[in-house]
Amino acid sequence: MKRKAERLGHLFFYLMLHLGGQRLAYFVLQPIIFTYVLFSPTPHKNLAPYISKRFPDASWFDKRIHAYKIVLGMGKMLIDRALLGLKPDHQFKGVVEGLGDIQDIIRSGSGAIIVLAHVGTWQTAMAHLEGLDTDVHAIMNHDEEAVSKHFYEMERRRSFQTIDADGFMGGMIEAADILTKGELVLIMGDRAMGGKTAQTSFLGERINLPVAAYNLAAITNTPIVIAFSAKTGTTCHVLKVWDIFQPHFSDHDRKTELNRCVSRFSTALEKYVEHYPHQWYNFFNIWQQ
Amino acid sequence: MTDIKQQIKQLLVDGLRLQTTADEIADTTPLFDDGLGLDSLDAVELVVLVNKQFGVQIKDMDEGKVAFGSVATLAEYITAKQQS
Repeated sequence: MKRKAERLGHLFFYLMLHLGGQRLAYFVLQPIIFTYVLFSPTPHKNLAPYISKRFPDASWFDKRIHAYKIVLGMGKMLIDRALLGLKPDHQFKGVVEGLGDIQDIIRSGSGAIIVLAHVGTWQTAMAHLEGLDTDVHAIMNHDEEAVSKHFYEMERRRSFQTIDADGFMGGMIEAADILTKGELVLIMGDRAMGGKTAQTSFLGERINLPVAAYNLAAITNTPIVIAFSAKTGTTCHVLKVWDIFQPHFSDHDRKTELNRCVSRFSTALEKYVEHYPHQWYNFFNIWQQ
Repeated sequence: MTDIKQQIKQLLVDGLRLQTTADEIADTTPLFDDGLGLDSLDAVELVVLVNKQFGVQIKDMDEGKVAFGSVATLAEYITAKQQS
């Protein structure tokens, strides 16, 4: 039932996009999100851990406003993503801050692991990487939901390929091979999907973050690029490189090195949510993962 | 073949820092899950180590699935690749 309703919702917004483009879809989205946030306890419950840490002094009313802004932002992000799928030639005004750094890595013949998070417009941000002179591969789950969303909307863009995280060895061998060819691998760095984690601090509390990306980088001797995207206007996005570093297992013990890596990711993410507090799209208690 | 199996066992213990000895690893013990308990990142490291020590690259995922079954299957894979 829930899935059917979700599908109907997708179809409705695809129709809006066909009829009136992005602006009509945004216009229709606002009252829907307002009603949802006003009457449903779900978004408040799911966002409470983040909002209470990011806005510790916010009143009850302010917390509601923050939740509304986050859910509306999420809705707009999904519309933008659908727009990219429906109209592959559609161009968002995208700025890549730090593009030169990524290009330098590619020119050096090395691959790179770009570590992203579920913030901003991460799917549309991937489209900004199309201009790079190399292939881009994202490790993601090919579950049913992902297939319905990502396949339709993202894989139509030719230079973007996926590595099945549920495939042989979690796609890690395939990813390692891709890195040795000097290509880019995208990994989400904020959600622990059952793999190994290391502990660090995020917004003042301990959090477990996945270490697969840093492990892979150390083993294959490829750099980590921490990049987060943000929506900066109706048709504008920015993908910014927040940090670049090379994990090494030689000088430290592994645990210490992995802790250092997740700490750098966490620091970058803290800076990000300081700039873009309403583009946080982890709708669960990430501190308990 | 026995020599390669022994080298693989030693590679697993030294390269992947297993808390066991080469002699304690049976030829047919599964490398992953309930066997030696290796994970996907150990697999990446093993691919690199096998390439370094034996000059054999494991790129084909279907072949990799079979090769990573146990020390015995990995030894068979390496031997076949070295002879081809």
